[in-house]
Amino acid sequence: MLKKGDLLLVAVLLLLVAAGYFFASGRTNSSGGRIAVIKQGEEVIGTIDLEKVKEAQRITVSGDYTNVILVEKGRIRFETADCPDKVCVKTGWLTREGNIAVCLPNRVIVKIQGENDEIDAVIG
Amino acid sequence: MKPVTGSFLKPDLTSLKSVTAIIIAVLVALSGCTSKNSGYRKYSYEFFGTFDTMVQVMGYAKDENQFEEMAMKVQSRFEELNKLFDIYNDYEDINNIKTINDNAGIRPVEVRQEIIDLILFSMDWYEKTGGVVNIALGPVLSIWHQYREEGKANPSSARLPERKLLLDAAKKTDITKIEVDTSKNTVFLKEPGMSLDVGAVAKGFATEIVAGELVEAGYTSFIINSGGNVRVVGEPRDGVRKKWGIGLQDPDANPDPYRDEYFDVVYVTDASVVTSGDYQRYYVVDGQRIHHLIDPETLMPARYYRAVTVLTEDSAIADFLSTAAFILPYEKSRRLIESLDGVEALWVMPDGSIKATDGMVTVSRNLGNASGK
Repeated sequence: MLKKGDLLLVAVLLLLVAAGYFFASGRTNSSGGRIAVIKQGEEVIGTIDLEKVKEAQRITVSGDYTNVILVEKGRIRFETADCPDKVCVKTGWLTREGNIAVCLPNRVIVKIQGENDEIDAVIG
Repeated sequence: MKPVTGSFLKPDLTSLKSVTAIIIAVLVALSGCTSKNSGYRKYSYEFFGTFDTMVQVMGYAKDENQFEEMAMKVQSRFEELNKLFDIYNDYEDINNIKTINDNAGIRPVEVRQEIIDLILFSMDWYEKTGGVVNIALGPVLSIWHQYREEGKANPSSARLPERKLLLDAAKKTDITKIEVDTSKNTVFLKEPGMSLDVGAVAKGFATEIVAGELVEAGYTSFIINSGGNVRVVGEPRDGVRKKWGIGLQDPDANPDPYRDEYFDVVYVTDASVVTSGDYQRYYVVDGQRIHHLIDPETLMPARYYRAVTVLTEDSAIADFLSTAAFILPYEKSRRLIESLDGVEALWVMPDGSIKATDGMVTVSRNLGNASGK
């Protein structure tokens, strides 16, 4: 038979295990701050912690064309672009892990780091 | 409090055993979850420079190196296939589709097996679909391409090609005048002025080649998304899901973040999903959207749908059929899809209403309540 103290021990250990598990999964799934990465071609040109953004800011990316990327707390988007298609602007706000917007003509990718665990790919 | 402390210090052996047993049971249960969740991690990698689009590779791997190895294989093979199937650029020491076009009416061109396979595949499916997607439509499509590029660069002077120009070009689009010699690996366009345009199939064909080679190399769980041409292999390795979720983008691409950004999600495994839409490549003339999917009968953009999504295992077939199904009017389009084994489709009509085959309904979140579990 288990004594009261044993049960407490089990409870404490359970909590520890659960906490460790929660911590580890929290780390790997990065359920904390969402990080937006801006890449041009293969090169990372900016990394932003979206949770730490206080005031809206704009980032201009030049190349064959010019994109203006708008960053607000918790979200990011292509605001304007002088490329012909403007697919990047039409994609709108990125808010979730794994969200991605692309300007093909200027080879710019904006992506929120981490992977979406429900939607694996998007067909546009 | 005392007994509690005491029991911490001096647990009797029998109860210690049961405590240990419980703890071990709990640990096993959790580590099962943990290894399911973190034994494999999901990675993704994007690259530009092939097939006029961005290619995304995604997969579950034990570590980053393992994933990177796979992603690099995909990129280098895509780069090679892009050169082979290119109709606009020459490359040193390679005969590609442009080389074939440049030698129309002049001489047969010796090409790599992949090009022979692509052309034979396209001729075969031309027959199977009643001639609705024609890779010999190059002369017509190049006119549209030119007007589209000019129209995008100078929207105020964007215009439609003259009818006569299109009709003259259409005289040189006879697919039976493509001569493929499989013993010599040569392709010859028998009439001067002919040209191949493999835009409706090259990306899907390349994706299928690369996916097949990864499977042969032992990779069992991945996705290649080449600009909306999605090929999934195996199951997601997160230990939870049995199927991959593929989001279908709203043709109107509503940029409202508080709304679900997908108008539907399909859940699939070992399949290809490809969409042809009027919003993918287009220019605007007098407020009208002039897209790139040209009906070989009318020589004009087809106008029966906003988008058609095709689901079938082979990515090349899915790519080809999404164009075919987009160009055909609904009755014929649906009949074509339903006549083929293992092929499903979803049509977005001009008024935004949705039609779908039964098999598509089954895998759809909105139409069939499907999920990835």
